[in-house]
Amino acid sequence: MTNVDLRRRSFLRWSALSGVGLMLGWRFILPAGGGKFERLRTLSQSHARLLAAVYATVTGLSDTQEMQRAVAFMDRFIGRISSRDRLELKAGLTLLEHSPLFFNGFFPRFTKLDSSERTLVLEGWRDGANWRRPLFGALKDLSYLARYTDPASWSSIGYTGPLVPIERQAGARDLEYFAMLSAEERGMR
Amino acid sequence: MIHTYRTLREPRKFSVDVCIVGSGAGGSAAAWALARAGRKVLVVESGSFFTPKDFNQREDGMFPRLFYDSGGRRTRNRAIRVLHGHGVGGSTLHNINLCKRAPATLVDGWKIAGFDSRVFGPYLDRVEKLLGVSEIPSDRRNQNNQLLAHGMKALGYQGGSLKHNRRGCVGSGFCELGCAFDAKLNAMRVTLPGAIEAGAEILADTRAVRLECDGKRVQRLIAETRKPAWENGEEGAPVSIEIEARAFICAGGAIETPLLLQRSDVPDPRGLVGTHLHLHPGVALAGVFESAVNSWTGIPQSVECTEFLSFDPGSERRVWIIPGAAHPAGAASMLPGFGAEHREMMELYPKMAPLSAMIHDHSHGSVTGKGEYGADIDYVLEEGDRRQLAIGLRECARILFAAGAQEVVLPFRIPKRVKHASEVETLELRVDDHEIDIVSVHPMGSVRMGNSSDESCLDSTGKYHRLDNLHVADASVYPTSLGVPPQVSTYAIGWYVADHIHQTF
Repeated sequence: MTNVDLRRRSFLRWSALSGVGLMLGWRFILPAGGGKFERLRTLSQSHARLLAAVYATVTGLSDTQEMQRAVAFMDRFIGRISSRDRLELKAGLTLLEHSPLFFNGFFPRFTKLDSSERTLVLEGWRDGANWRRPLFGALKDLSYLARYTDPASWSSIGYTGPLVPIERQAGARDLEYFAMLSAEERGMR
Repeated sequence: MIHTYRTLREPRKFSVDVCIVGSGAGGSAAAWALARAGRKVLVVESGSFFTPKDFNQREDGMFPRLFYDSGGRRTRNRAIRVLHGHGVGGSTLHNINLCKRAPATLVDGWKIAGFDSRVFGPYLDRVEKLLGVSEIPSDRRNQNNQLLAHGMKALGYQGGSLKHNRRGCVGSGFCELGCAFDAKLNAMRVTLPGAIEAGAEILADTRAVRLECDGKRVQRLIAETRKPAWENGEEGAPVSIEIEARAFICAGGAIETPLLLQRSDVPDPRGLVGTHLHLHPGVALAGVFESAVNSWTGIPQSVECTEFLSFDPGSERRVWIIPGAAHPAGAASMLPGFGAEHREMMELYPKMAPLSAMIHDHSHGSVTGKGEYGADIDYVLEEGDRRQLAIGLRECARILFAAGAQEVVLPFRIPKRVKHASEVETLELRVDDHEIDIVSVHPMGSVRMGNSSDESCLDSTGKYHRLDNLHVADASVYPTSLGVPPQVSTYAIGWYVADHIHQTF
């Protein structure tokens, strides 16, 4: 093998690696697919779009207004969990977004896949190794919490919702609870 | 009287006779007994103060308020969800009011010198009287419970009506989210008002950070009060609280009590604190019936099947079957699959009758701290317990078909939808991690009682072996799983420990 061959091989190898690196880097730089979400307090736009895509796949629904409500709910809910769990969830979301390339052979990110491809990806997380299943479980739980705590969903499943407490024995008992507070507390309420 | 973060805005010091961490069944009973005996009592509670008008019967609203980690706490391997409540009243705010005594044979089997069913029984009697425990009449059974009773009768299985601590129940079905109708005869309604009337004070929104010990005694509790995260998404800045007391009682439950003791570096040369954790884990499934069951309405659990539950020594009948209770988000989470298939199952929700099988577990794990205040719960089911859960699923399926179910859905990762009773007999059932949802609502046993400081953390009076004035009065004291809901027993433990403390003063 001549020196020219070696230099050419080296050039080709490094060009190929650089090309792959550029493609992957470009992939990470590009924004996630999906719309824009307003008034987020906890989630970034990318994570919001990702959760919207998960929600649409898990529930099979894609109404835009419902999606906005669901993401707003998830944003508030995630804001109330511990910071450690929030960090783990966000890391998991980032992993999910880029996982199609590594686990399914799909080049686009999760948010840029079509619904059947997203379903395949989530099935992979559901059925995959034990370290992957909990993330799927958490995203499923979050999606259904957003969906089925929304009163707009109740008629679709025949759920009658809260029993409105109009017949509560208010008054006397409420006063007793109020009286358990310190004087300063009572003064503030 | 009760103080919250709203008025605890400056550092404060307290000096009392007894400081109690936790205001659930055990802590509230201890506060009640000691305050009424004339002791100056201060209760520290990490959760918030809620009254019935705060309970909005919404899963999204109440889970962040009433449960640690908004109900999302799980074991280390994520296989088991561990629901653990907080709030002034602890888990008694969200429990389903089932009243079962710790079985006498079990208590006697612990062989703790000075603590057996003859000693403990009278405390259980007193608690049942105090809480107005009574059998749920059969005409108060909702359709889900009637189906369980019907199925049991058809198969000749043992069981019957459960007992509860309710008064004025309107059958809303939202017990697990706090009772908006103020019908629970729980810590908030019975023991804490009694304690406050006798002079006890409660600091809500106040987390116990650590106990400061000098090697023989606890000198003080350091705590911090904060505006809770559920209020507007962010925890407030901490305000330091210092409490000196003659005696301290830890009653934060089987997860939080060992964490506090570990943070406090209490003497523990054998490394026992936080070990021998039992979870009383359960699995659920649902039968689908021709007509509406509407399982979310009415008293959720009023019938039990005890055919497969025995506390005779060495018995392998360790399964307790009761109706399941889930509102739509909970039900959706437990049903397998997603997308169109899942939506189709959710449309059957009104016709679903869920049953739950909980086991008197032999498996035991440990709890240690994670981060500042998080919990690392290391618990893996032993093979024998997995078999018991599988037995529970099979028997629940039999009962549902005997009651007339058209189909039974076993919510495995790949769902098993069984259309005929005969198929139940040949079902291959295996409860592996991450194959089916496993839930624990009764963690117990992590700071257990025993005879020797080499094998246990507490003596027969609930006093920590290695410190003169530290006691535990919650579900962490039990040397084994109770195999039944621990509510009544834990109130009794609180009262029992309190009586002993009072005698030492």
